[in-house]
Amino acid sequence: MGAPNDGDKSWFDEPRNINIIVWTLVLACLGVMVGGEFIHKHGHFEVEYTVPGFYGLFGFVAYTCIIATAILFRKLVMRPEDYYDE
Amino acid sequence: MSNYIFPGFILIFGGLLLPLFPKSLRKWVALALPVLSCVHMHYLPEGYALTTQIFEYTLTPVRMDKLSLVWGYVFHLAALMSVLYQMHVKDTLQDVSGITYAGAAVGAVFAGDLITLFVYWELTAITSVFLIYANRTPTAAKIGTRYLIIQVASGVILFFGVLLWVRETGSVDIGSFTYGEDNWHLFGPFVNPETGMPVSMASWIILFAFGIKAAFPFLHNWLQDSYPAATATGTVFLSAFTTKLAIYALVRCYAGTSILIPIGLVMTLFPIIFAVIENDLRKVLAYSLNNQLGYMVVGAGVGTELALNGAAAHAFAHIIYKGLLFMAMGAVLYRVGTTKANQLGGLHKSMPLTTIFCIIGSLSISGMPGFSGFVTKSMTLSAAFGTHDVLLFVGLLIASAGVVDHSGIKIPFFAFFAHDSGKRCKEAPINMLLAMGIAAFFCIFLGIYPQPLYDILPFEVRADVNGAEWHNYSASHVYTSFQLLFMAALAFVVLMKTNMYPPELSCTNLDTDVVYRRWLKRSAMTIGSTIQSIWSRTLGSIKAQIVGTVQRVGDQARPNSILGEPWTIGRTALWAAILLLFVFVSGMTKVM
Repeated sequence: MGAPNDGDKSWFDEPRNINIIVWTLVLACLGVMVGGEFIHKHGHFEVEYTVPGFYGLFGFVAYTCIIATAILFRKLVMRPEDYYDE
Repeated sequence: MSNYIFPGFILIFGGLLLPLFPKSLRKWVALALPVLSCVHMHYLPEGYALTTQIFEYTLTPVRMDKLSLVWGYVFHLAALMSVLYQMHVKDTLQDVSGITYAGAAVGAVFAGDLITLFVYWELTAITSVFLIYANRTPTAAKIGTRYLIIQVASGVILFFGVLLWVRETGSVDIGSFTYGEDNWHLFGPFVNPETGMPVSMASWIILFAFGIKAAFPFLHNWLQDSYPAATATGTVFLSAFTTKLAIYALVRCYAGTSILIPIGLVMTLFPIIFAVIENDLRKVLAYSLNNQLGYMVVGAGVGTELALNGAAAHAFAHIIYKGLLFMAMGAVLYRVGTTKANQLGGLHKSMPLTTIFCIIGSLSISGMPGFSGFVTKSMTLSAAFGTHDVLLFVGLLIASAGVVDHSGIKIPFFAFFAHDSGKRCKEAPINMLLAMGIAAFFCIFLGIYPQPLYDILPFEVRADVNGAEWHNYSASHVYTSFQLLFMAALAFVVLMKTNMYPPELSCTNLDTDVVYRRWLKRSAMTIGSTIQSIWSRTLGSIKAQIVGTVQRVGDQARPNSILGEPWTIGRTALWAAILLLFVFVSGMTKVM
């Protein structure tokens, strides 16, 4: 297979384009976090009304916590690939 | 009416007869079977039931109702997509196995009594194992056998529960829902509406049997063990039927069982941690499947009309988008030979269409507005949040963020983008692309226009069902979904940029299968070798005793020993005289 040759570079190989994607995501986040405050909310819990951008903040924190937990969990459960000898 | 062919029979018998067709026709016949079977099922009248008397029991091998039909339709669609996806594979074993397996699952959802359900339940196990054996490697043989043992055990436990149930109630009928006091909460026939718990020991045992196939926590590991071990195309079949049949059984028999809510919640949560650290992307999808089942189990447990609609709709959409994701990974496995994340990357250059289809599946499962997962998951979530249980609210939101990671980002990112592995291959074969295209179409179609799905759901879809508000494409709902998805994706970007995201590593992660694959195995080996050593020691000592005794007796007979010593004529004459005297004396006493 070898290393990729320059002839088949794609749009995604360009760091500049990755930055475009990242900044688009940042803008989208800003858009939905701010925009969410201007729409009529309906939820089941008070926190959905009182904390601005609750779902967004929750998503960010929950995601980070999941990854952190997984990193710790890996120390507990990770074994060599041939652990079961099959 | 009894001249109707049972739903599922066209697939089961058609599949079994497949090898009799000429090779050139076989694939086309295989493709026609799900279509024919679906048309046949569609035209059976709703409410149709076929009953037959065996001894004093009334069996109902077929009962058509709206709940069964949801599964009936999606099982046929899944069968059609899977057969199409497998068209390039020249292996009749896999075609026969896949089609009969689909038929068994279809038959099971129309079973009106527990005995019929049991027969189909076991049939799904026996027919599907060949999709794993078909890899024809020693490892696949071992994994297939493990899978078969657990699946058959689930059936045996089910049968035991059914026997108890029949003794308790005298009936084998599966029964129908009962309404709760508030008239919108529904309870399955095996549930006590007052306590929300299974009625008896028999219904607990049956719940346990269903729980094995539904991959309840601690009973789940057969799924992650076997699905990634099946053939590239076989996993697509496997992902559709067994677990969703179990979800159907739970919705049908255990709607409103409150214990299903915590069980389902745990199911949505623990697999997401495993999915983050798993390297094999097909195994990541198996964990993801387990997580998705959790939402449906919660829906069954909540037991309102909206929740049961949600569980049914979610099962429908899930079979399609999960099938799509397994198809995309199957295409990668077929072309590249591996689905290990640390060996992949950059495949969008070689497989652009597969990449696009995979992303559509990922967006669906993540619940992106505009895709099927958004519509169906939101029904379950709204019903669950309607219980005003804070723990459930927080847990399901964490699970939703987890889905964004493992299926939304990890699968497409590490396979098709990330670090370019340098691997170059051909795009997936045309039949694989077509099957993925059909699945992708449904992911988008049901996301934009869910009405046809609503129409086949067991209960009428209303904006407001007795207090449980449900607005699908309301601005609030769309915004909150976007917020959760985008901000979770942003967290991924931050973690990648700061090198905090855990790297993909070749490894085995311990799960509950360590109990039987390692601990029980080692314990059994230790016990076995201890018994063997005790036995061989005991046997050795008995043998030594016998040999010693024989030796000692032998020693006495040797020359110069007591018995072996030569006697003099005088001593011999003396002993002969004593013997004669003895005979004489004893003869005399008798005479006297």
